[in-house]
Amino acid sequence: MFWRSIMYVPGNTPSMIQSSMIYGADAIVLDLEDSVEENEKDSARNLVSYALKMLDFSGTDVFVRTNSVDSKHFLKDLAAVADTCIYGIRVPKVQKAEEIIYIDQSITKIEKELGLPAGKIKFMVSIESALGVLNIKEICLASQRLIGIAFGAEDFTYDMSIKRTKEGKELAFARSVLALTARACGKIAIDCVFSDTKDSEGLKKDCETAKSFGMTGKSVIHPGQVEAVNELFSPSVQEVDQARRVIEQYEKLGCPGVFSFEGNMVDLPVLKKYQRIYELYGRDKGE
Amino acid sequence: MNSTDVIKVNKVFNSFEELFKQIQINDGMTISFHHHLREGDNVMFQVLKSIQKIGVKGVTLACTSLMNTHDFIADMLGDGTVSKIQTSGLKGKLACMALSGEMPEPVIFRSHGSRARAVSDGELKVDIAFIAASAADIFGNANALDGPSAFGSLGYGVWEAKNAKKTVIVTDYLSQSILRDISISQSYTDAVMIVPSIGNTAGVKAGSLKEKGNPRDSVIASNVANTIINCGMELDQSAIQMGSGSVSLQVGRHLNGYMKERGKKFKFGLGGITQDLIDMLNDGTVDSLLDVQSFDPKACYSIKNNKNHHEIDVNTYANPLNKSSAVNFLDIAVLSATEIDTDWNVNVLTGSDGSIIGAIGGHQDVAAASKITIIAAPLFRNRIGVIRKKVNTVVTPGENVDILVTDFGIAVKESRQDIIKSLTDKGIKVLKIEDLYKKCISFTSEPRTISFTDKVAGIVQAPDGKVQDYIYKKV
Amino acid sequence: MKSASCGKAKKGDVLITVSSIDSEKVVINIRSKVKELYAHEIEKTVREIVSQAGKTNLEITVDDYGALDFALRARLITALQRLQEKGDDTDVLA
Repeated sequence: MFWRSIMYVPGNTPSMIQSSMIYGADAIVLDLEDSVEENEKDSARNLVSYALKMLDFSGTDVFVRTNSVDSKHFLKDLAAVADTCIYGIRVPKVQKAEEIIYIDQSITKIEKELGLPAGKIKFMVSIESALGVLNIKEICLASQRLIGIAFGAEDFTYDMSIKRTKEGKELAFARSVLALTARACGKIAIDCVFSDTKDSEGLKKDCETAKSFGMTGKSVIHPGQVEAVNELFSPSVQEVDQARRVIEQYEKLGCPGVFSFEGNMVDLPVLKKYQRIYELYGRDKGE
Repeated sequence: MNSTDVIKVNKVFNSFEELFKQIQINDGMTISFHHHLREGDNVMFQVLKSIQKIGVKGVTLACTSLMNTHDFIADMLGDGTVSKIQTSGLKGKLACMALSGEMPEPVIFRSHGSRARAVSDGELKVDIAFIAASAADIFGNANALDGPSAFGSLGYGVWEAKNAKKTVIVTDYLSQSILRDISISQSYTDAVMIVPSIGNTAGVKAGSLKEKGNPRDSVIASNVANTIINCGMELDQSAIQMGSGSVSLQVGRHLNGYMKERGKKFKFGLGGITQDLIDMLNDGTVDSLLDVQSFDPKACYSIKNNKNHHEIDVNTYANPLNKSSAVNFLDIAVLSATEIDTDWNVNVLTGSDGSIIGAIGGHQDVAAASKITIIAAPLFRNRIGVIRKKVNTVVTPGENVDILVTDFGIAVKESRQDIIKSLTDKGIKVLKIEDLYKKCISFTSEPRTISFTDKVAGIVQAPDGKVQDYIYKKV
Repeated sequence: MKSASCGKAKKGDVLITVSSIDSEKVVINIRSKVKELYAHEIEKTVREIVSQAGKTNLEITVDDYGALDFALRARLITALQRLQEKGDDTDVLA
């Protein structure tokens, strides 16, 4: 479980759903919330449900973004997708730990009803408000089932009555706190989308910023953004190469507890970091 | 001075009436046209209308290809002006007529190479070639590089002019002085017909050449580029043909970047020349372009100003029976498909429902000659899957195809263990075509088999002139 | 006569209209870009879903733009649910 890119796919457009698995996104989110008009919630829910039951997602992890817990759709959304191949759900606009507990209980209940293994359905939430940001720690600690926290910048800037800029200085504190807290609590931290799909330089900079805050991945809204996000959230070729060489040295020396590599001391935590990089990216394909 | 002498001195005509007094056109003659102007062509319309007006009947129309803009020919088949059609492809109304058995004779479909062969070995005897040119001089020299309607290479036209009994250049730009660039020499030209306009060059890019790609095309292009780079072929000094369309354009961009980074250079780029190949020529990632057909009017400037951008005729491009055609030196070719079957046979002419929707183009010629032939296509278009158990029409036989690249994965023919090994070693997942077929069916489900009558609607030739397959009238 | 619809007249989608009729039949009209290849599959799916839902007295119009089977199923079921809801509303109003 390590998603660099998590791609939103509108939940009411068959042509986009049926090709969503080809773009190389580490995970996709079939969206029932913002991309679906209020009077089409029923059709999107059925469409996503059938897609999950009938299509082969080629090993891509799939989430469904439900409507928020205070909407009349949340439980219906959950029920429609619970018994499918989903990895989990993503719940938007979460502000308080109580909501996390409610989500966890709702999932637990439906898992029981459907006879699914307990804990099978994971969830992530999006923090999209000032209150949400202040409560991140409580939110993170409220459920074992919760695996990640995503940041929603559009609603956040609206809530704060501030203007969203491309540079994103206004988001610095929220992103930083979100990544810090998520990491502290052992959750993944997913950065907000970069809306200008034509600005590849801007996307690159935004990824670098997010990565520097400690975000583990980023939500994307267009297939064309996937490759860049995957690349920027992967370690560099040099880092992977270094990892490979460190591991080779480690094995050559007979797996010692501490050893020296090119003048630097490598102990267990450092070794673990290199092992993780190598496992994830060491056998990347092609040139 | 007899009438022949007049033609030798004054070749320029301003009305078809006068032209046809000098260039006899009779019932049952074979006349030819090229398709460089694609959907923008207005020459065929003007010539055929004039022929219809003087009451000539039973003409065999031998075009290098036909487009939607040529729908008007349907009426001429109806009134007997035209009785037979030979072409590389059919679209629109004409395609429907052929398929419903409304044409008096089956249509003969040839690849560009086969066409070049047929006009030179006498299988197809052209009485008059009407050749759209963007510029001609008063002596009868012509090119497609000058004038307001310049469209680039005149590669198909050149070979028609050399082989037809009579050649009429049709142009909207007459130069009083001799042209600097001469694609068709005055020695082949019987007459120059001046018309108000030969067509709209914006139409050159229409048809299969839409640049605007969808995200799925980008995935296919990236997979194709990745395959080419890792298939085991040394790309430095190799020769490539990439085709047209948004996938090809993006493949070109990927390869340009790759070659530039590594200081590598293709020996030549062949075929229909697109903007991305011209960019590669300018960036020094391809040494020469051999341009039989320009898919972008920008090629005019390049041909005129870059000595390494060569206009070649279709004989040089792909005639299988001459001493040395360019396709024989191809290392890598990227081609399209309407269908491909699990025996690797490729269809580019008819759709899964049996209708005629495409053109052979250079498909057969290029696939037969290239060391590695890649078919690039989406796994399914709406509900129509690209992989079938058996294609409706075999255009290019499976023995000439090596790799299928789709948006859902890459398949390599079992016999190309060299390619399989190379790709696998580089960490690229290689599937069997049967696996991709199953994947395709998992999305589309199995289509019904279309029923045909035994009435032949079209004959698909192989490059050597033998019958490759038949297109039958639908039930 | 009540009717409801779901889906869009867009590539890869299918617009389905279901109407209640007096006759105890299920009448299916199919218009499709891929009719020659898939009319049989489309009809099979429609009949399957209608019979699973235990419905009759229906006219179903399928205006297909090359939708895959999952989309066809989802659109039809939504249309049937919408028709049902309309039925309930009518009852309430009456």
